[in-house]
Amino acid sequence: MNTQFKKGVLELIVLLSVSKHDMYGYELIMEVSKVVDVNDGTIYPLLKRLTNERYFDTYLVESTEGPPRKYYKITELGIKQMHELLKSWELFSESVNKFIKECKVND
Amino acid sequence: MTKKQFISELEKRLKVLNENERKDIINEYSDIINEKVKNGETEEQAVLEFGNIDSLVKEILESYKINPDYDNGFSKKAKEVANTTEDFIKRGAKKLADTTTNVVNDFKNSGNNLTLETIFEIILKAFVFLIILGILRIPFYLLKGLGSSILGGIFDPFDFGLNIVWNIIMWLFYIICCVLVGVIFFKKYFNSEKTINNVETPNDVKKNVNKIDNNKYSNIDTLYNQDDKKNEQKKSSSVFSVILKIFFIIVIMIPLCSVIVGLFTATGISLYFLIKGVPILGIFIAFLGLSIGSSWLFDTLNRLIITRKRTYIWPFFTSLVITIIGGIIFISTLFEFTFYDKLPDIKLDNYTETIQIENNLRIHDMYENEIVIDDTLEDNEVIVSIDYYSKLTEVVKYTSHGTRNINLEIHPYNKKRFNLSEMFNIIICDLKEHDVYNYNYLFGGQVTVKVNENTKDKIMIFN
Repeated sequence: MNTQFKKGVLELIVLLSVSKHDMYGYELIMEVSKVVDVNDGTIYPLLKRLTNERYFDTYLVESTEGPPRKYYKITELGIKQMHELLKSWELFSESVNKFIKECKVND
Repeated sequence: MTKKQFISELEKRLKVLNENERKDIINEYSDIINEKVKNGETEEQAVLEFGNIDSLVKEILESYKINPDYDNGFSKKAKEVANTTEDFIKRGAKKLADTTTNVVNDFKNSGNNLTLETIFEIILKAFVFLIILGILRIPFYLLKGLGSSILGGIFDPFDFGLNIVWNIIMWLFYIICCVLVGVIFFKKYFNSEKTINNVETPNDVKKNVNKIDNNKYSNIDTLYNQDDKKNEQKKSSSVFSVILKIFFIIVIMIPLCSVIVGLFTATGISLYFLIKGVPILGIFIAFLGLSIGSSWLFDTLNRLIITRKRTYIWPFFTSLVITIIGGIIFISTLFEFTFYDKLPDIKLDNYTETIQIENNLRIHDMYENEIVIDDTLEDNEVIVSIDYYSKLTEVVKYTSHGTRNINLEIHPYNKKRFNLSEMFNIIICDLKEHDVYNYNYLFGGQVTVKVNENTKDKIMIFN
């Protein structure tokens, strides 16, 4: 899959995933990998950035098997951002698809 | 790499973060590795899936807006310099590439303003412009000559100062004319921003897709905002306008700046003298007008060509009126001045000597002389009496080896500091009285020579 495309939509996918239900790091990696194949290492910095930008809140949950686990939860701001990105994505993919169709017609 | 190695490596590279953040990150990654191991992977596999640890750390730090090349000491500075230079070069290269692409694009869409025809048009206009500038120089040159001869005729010792002033004024007007001509000629080439292409071409979609790539985590603005595209085209205005602007700044704005500084200084100096009592109100007002006028000119040019704001014409008229008023006052005060072609009222000193001459006696720098025949003197016996201003000059006597002539000259006394302030005070005092003397006489002398009839022909006196 094309890396350029992946990078563009990663934020959208992450926001969508966490909006379904609160997740922790590994869970999110699994979720995202269902859609796109990403370098696991880059998920965490993205989460960090989105948290710093107040799209996510975090809380810790005690775990029996080790250190407490950090969960990510989407905020109001994050939901707003998610809708913005969705809108942009839809507009964008629409114009790309339309253009592809036009080019196919001319073939 | 095992989990432990990975974690310790991470710890090391994330030292720049504070402890809590670092612990947080370590826990997160540690957690992820644990989960993967639980799902059947080995530690090594899990670590491998994180990819290159350098890029990982870089991205982590970037999300804290920390420069990932943070280092201590000299290597940090060196890296900063290298980075800045690299950035600079990258930007320059990008700008060059962009400009070239734009030029090529403009060329292709020949509806725009950069055709071969326009290029030749500009070159020809530049030639004509330069020729006109040369021709324009002539009347100002003549005026300058006329002015300096008038000034020279009226104020002999003063005219050097006024000449400079007149020169400045002439150059100023010349520059103004040149600039106006230039603006008329080349104005249309500066209006490149008006040619904005609003049609969405296939290129635009590509541009937008590329923008996604450049921002790793996409920004809604780049996808959605069409104003962005317009701004890009506005910024990439024609190459020529940029070059012309730079040329304009170097050749015109900078000299104009220095002229303005000079005028303001002159205004300040004349104000100082005015306060001291010298009656140069007219000069002060004229300089004030000129300063305002030149500042207005600078500002107007700036608005016309660089920033594109409204221009105002009223300061021009104000400054013109002020200058003219100042000039009139100055000329009227001129009539109040009396010019004496003689020495000011100061005490002169005397140099007297009895000289035995062999061949001739040559006396220089005398503005007045008198030869008195005294037959009580011997042959070749001469009594010389010179009146001179000892505060500024001294009498020098020497014998020329070849002809054995004796020479007497008046030289400026070499105590320069004394010179200047003395002169100054004398001139200022006289000006306060509306009197102008011929100060050249301060540098000469008056001589009375006593000889007998026979020796008379051996005396030569010069101005």
